[in-house]
Amino acid sequence: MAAVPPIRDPGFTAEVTGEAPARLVLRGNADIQARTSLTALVDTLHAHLVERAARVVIVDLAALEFMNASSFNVLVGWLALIQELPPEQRYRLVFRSNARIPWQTRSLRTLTCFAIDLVEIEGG
Amino acid sequence: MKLPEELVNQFRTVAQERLARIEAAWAQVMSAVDDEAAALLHREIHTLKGESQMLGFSDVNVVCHKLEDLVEVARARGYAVDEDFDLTVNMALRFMTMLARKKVGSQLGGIDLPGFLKQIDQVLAESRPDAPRARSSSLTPLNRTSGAPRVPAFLRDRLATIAVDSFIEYAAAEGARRNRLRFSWHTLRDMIGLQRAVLGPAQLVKLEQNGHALARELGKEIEVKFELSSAEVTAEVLAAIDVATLHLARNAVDHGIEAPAVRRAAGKSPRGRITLRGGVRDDRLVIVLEDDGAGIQFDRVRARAVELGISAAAVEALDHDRLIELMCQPGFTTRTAATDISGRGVGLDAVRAAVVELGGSLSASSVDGAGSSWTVSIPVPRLGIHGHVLRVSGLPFPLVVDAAWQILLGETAERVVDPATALGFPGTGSGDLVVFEREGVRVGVRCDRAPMPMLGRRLVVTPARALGEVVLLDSVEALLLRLERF
Repeated sequence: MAAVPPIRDPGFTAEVTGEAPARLVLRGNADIQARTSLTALVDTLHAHLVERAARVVIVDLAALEFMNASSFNVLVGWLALIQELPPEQRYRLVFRSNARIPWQTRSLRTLTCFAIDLVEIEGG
Repeated sequence: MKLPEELVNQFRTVAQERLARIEAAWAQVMSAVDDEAAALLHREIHTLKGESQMLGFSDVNVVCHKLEDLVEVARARGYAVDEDFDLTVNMALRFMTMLARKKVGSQLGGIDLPGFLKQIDQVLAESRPDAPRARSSSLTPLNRTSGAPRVPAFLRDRLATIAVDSFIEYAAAEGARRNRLRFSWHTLRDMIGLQRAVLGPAQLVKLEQNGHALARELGKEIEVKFELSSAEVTAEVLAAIDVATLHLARNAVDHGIEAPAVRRAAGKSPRGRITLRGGVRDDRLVIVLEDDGAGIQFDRVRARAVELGISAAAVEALDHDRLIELMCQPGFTTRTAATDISGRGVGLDAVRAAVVELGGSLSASSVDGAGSSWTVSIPVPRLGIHGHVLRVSGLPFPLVVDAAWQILLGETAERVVDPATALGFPGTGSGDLVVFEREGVRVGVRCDRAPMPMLGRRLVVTPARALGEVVLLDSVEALLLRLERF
């Protein structure tokens, strides 16, 4: 998706592909340095999804080996952005997780507690 | 009763401010031991808990209770917790931020509060100090305080260099090979990595109880005073300090402090005083235990030395330092009959052995009739590293350069290092040139992003001749590069 510039850092990449639904693929290790660029990407993607009246977006974490608390907070912030929208404009986040990466199971379960109506987990 | 809207809004504002302060204090205690930040953290949570209850924000209040439990467990573990725990604390703060914004008594709308509390309970159950450690460390290590096998110091240097190589290989590998190498790296790291512990008054309170119990037994009265600065040290150092302070305190009560009647006759308070003070200064942990008792009875030490077979002439020639040295020899005691308390001659010997094994020293001074003072000094490795973190093309991990290297802007360097190539990765040589200088030596490194200041935790300490070592940078393992070695 040309409207959302990818992140291609050594050790961490994030890229949006597809349109309906859009798919955000995160790979590698999202450490504290990833936070700023990931926040910018999420802000841009959110604006784009609202503009396109998207109903769902896939967040693919299957190759995301690690995400620290700072970067994970970006996902919580994303949920807050969606919750601020009028109900008819809200879209769902479907997380594709990897059961072989231990941190994902608990962290995503916790994330679901923030908005059970907006978060769905596949795999894991 | 409905509270005025103004008051409720004021709580919302204040709660957000408190949550921001709690988050900052949590980040601070996670990066280094900081008494002030720890006190602030506990105070702010406690206050927020009270305020939320008073203002009817029962959801905030219940999460605040759980957060207090989490922070209490973290405190008991010297704030050495894993990334799951860190994330749970952060999520609890985000949860409260969200709950504080919603109207009092309104529906939770999509928020699964019971589910979230259950998650916290699970983390708490797994993280209690006495809980079995079912979880294995995944990508980053727990900061353990015990449990790993002891590796002799002479082997550690050699293994540390191999551990760093194994970290680099693991980071470069993929698939099953990566899993295998990760296991190797983590095994080595757990064997020889720095095991951290927190030294502080809380750990030494048992000395006070022990001292009082012993004094009661001997018909003496004492007071114990602590003037210790909290310090993060290695688990080995903490164990040595435990041994040293236990024996020295028992000796002070048994041999140093006089009976109340004797003290009164000498014009002293009937209650003897033992003071334990110290902290980390200039890469050494220095602990001083002093008492206001009778002082070391050097004439008795001399007499006992003669009884043990040293010639009277030789003993007479010994000065106080040499006599103290003699007191620390195995089997030496001024008591002729062993009691349950001391007099077996193993105390000072054990103290010295524990301290010397870590490259430390034990010294003493004494003033006749006024008391004695024992000083334990142990070198402690720097546990934290201030530096610059860089991202270099071709490297799958961040690089760290020690803060002793200063960044020069707009300068050139006669020597440019390509860390990726030097470490055996396909280097691209791309990126901006950053010039570092230390003691007149300039080295240029090409990196993708402007260096950022950082505080990392050392994981495995290597000898100065090694190319680098592994540090923990906000939950991510990074390679500290010794530019002087390139």
